[in-house]
Amino acid sequence: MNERGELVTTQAPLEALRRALAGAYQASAHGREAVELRDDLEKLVCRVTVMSVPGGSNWLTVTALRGYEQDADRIRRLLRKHGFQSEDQWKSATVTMSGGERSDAVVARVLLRLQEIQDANLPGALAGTHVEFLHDFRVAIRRTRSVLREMRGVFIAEDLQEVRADFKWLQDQTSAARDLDVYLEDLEQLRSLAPEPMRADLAPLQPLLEERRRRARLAMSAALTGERARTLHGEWRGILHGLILEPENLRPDASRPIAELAGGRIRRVHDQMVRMGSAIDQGSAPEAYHELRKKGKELRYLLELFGAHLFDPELVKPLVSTLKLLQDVLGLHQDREVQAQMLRELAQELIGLAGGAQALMAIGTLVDRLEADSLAARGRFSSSFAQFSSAEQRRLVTDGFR
Amino acid sequence: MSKAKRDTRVIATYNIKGGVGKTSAAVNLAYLAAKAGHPTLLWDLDPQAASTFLFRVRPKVEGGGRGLLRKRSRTAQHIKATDHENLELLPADFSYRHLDLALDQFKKPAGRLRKVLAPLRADYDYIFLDCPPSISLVSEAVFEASDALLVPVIPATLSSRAYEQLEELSRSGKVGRRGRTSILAFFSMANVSKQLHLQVMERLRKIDQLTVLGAAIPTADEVEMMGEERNPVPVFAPDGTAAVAYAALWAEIEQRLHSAPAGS
Repeated sequence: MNERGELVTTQAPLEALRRALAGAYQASAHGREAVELRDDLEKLVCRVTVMSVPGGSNWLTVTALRGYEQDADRIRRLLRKHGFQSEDQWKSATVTMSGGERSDAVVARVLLRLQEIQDANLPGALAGTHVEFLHDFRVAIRRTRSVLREMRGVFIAEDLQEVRADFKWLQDQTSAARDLDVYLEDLEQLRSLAPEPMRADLAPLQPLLEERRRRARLAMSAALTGERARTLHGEWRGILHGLILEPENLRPDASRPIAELAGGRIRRVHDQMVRMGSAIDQGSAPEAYHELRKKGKELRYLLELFGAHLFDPELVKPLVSTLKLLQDVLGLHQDREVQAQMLRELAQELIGLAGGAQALMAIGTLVDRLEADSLAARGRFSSSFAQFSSAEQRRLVTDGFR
Repeated sequence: MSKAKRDTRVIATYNIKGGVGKTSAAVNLAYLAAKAGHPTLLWDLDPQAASTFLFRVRPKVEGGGRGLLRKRSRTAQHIKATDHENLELLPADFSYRHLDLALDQFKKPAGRLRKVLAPLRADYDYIFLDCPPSISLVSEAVFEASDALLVPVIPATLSSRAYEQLEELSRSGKVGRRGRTSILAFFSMANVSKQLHLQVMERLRKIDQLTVLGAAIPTADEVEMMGEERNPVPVFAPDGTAAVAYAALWAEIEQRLHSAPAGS
């Protein structure tokens, strides 16, 4: 799948490009979805593809012609200088904070930023313009839920319960569509895992998955534009803006310095992961790996949203690296398990289709292969977990996040 | 196509005389090859940089001609995309006027261009060399590197004599790799309303040893317009007589090239 774009503008793209590049490059439309950029010799140096998304954002990808990479870099710099946002702005939840600030104020800022990301990505997710919109929308929800869980002491418990249920519901509404996005993206890779003579037999899978996705997207759109989602959207900002005014006696962590609260949570989640991982061996159920992966995401969000801004980067970066390695192994294990499960489910629907018998045989071979991959990931687990949970790493976490 | 198996042909547009249509031929034929889907490179070896100008590229190669000859593994870094799909350019540089001297520093100067081109063969079906008008060490190196020399001949007495001289050199084994380089002439700037042109064309076609292609490029305003348009003729005048003639010429060249084995 192509990238969504690297720069974003809400202005009309051709005019915005002309204004930003005036005097340096000429911009001319090339069809409806591309702009050509020429230098002072009128030589074509870059092509810009434009993807317009409902909601008013235009996503640009600058591609240099061979030998004109330096022009492309200059063009990107000029565009950023003239207000084009980097794509990262639509997913990065970076919020400035200092360690001594009240936790409730910082948590509210982080959650408001996560809400901005959801709002920005929602139109693209609903329109299905590019799979990244739904992905980023869901990541922002997952991060929101993680913050609500880990920083629950800054909220009134009763209020929190309802909001957490709402965000869980919101995430659930998007799961089927996202899973199918991933299956369809992975289909080519899945095909390549099957023996060469059987690859063509998997052809009936694609239309089946596409139809499932179409239905899942319809259901998702109905939910995300429905009353419950609208109510949550309308009330959530108000709750966050008013958070610091809520009675502190019902919010035990509200006024604690954020570094103290976040550091404590990071230490605790790391410790929980060490204990969970230590109990896993080759014979453990897939759920044990899955639970550890979920906990790993929790730690990663804590590190990205708070740790990276509050603690020594020399401490945070290596921890994030070892965590990523571990998550990659757990992710491969989980992906293969889910893919195998999905194929088993689809097998039922394939039976009645033309070419279904051959497809079933190919799926059988493929499932064997996926299970072998999953087993291999289990084999790699112990070494990556050993690194993550080493005595040295545990000491660094215990001493450093204070 | 796998990189190792590419059947690359190197074609040089060459004539001792200048102003005979070498650059126009190189630019238009390279464009036609690329348009047919063949990855194509044009190396503008002429310090006057006419091909480079026609593709709107700055005539500048970092390290100059000497650098290109010495660090042949880095040649690809200097290649620029043109505005046309599949067509890339190794631009001219003013330092190419001293390319003879740079070549002379190598033990086997005549084989050096061939070595420089060797790593590029994996990326292109056709490599065109647009040569400066001279007979020099550069010409020898071009002859050695090429599968075919494409010689534009104006059908007038003096121009055709230059071609006959080249043919003599070829017969004495002084052009190319022991006769493995084809010499293909074509009439350029031909004006069939001129009696002299018709006479010269008829005379040259009758010389058995000479390979004169059937297609001729006529004198046409479109060819002169290339400097203004800064594009190959088929881009801005696709139905004109020149575009049709270049297409016919390319079809004939391609057929001849692929009836002979490529150099390696």
